Amino acid sequence: MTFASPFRGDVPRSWFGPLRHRCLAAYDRVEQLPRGPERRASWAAYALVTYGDKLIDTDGIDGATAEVAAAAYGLAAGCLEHGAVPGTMPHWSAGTRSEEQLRAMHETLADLNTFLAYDARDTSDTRVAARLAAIDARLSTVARLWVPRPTPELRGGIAGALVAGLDEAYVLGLDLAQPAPSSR
Amino acid sequence: MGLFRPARTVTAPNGIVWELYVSKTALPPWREGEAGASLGVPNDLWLVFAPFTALWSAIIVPLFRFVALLPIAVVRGRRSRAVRIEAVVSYPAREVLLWTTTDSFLEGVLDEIASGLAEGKVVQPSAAVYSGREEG
Repeated sequence: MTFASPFRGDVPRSWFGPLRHRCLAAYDRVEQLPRGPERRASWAAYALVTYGDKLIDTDGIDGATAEVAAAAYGLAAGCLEHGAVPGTMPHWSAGTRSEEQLRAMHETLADLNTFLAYDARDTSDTRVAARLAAIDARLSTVARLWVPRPTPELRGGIAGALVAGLDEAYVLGLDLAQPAPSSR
Repeated sequence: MGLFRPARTVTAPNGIVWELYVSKTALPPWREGEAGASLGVPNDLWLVFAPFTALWSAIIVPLFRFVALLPIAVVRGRRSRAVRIEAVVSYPAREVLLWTTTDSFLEGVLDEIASGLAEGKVVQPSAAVYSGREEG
């Protein structure tokens, strides 16, 4: 099933202002809350608003990017306001990702990975270490394939690694926010 | 890096010989047109013009298209650091597998692919994108 994008042409950054404003608390709340359902929802909101912010951090926001950014902000607001935590990050519709989109995805994954590495610094669970290593491996794959003017094949490989890495980081963050280590 | 000389030749456990070709240029695909459609031939004259329309759609149009697009493909390949690796087997049936990597990791990726094919496996090196069997 395909959906027609509501966005036509470039979308101004200011369009996201009201939507983004509902999510900004996520940046502070995620580090302040003890492990539990509230921190889990805050982590989800943090990851999603980070993704949205990276996606719109450009001069011209194309329709596909605007669609994913709006979805990320909407989901982040839902996490903060209703505790409705989505199972994954918003995904792209079919097509090849642009360099700007890849850059935003890469920066988001790097930020989330840094947060998770710090959050798990006291964890002795080897499964968490393995999941962090898997995210590092995704970043490593991206670094190897990233060249100026990448071909569609390379962009596909980079996008595949980033989409998988973002989902892995997002789910690991949800698990780390829970108090029971057995759920990891 | 030669388009017509294999960078590696590997024999799989089942005796199939794979040749690995390295190129920076993705050749334009050979796309045939629809017979008759491109010349606007009426139905009642179809038989008379059939050989010409077949020649036109199967050879002339694809050839012109290929020649027109080739310089663009060459220039695009020269500007990019992407490298294509094609594993080709010609017998008993032609088969082409395609990977894309970057010039920095070419040798290592070639070695991994060659080792894999020698063991009868199609590997997916982390420094390359495997696109599967190439069409066209």
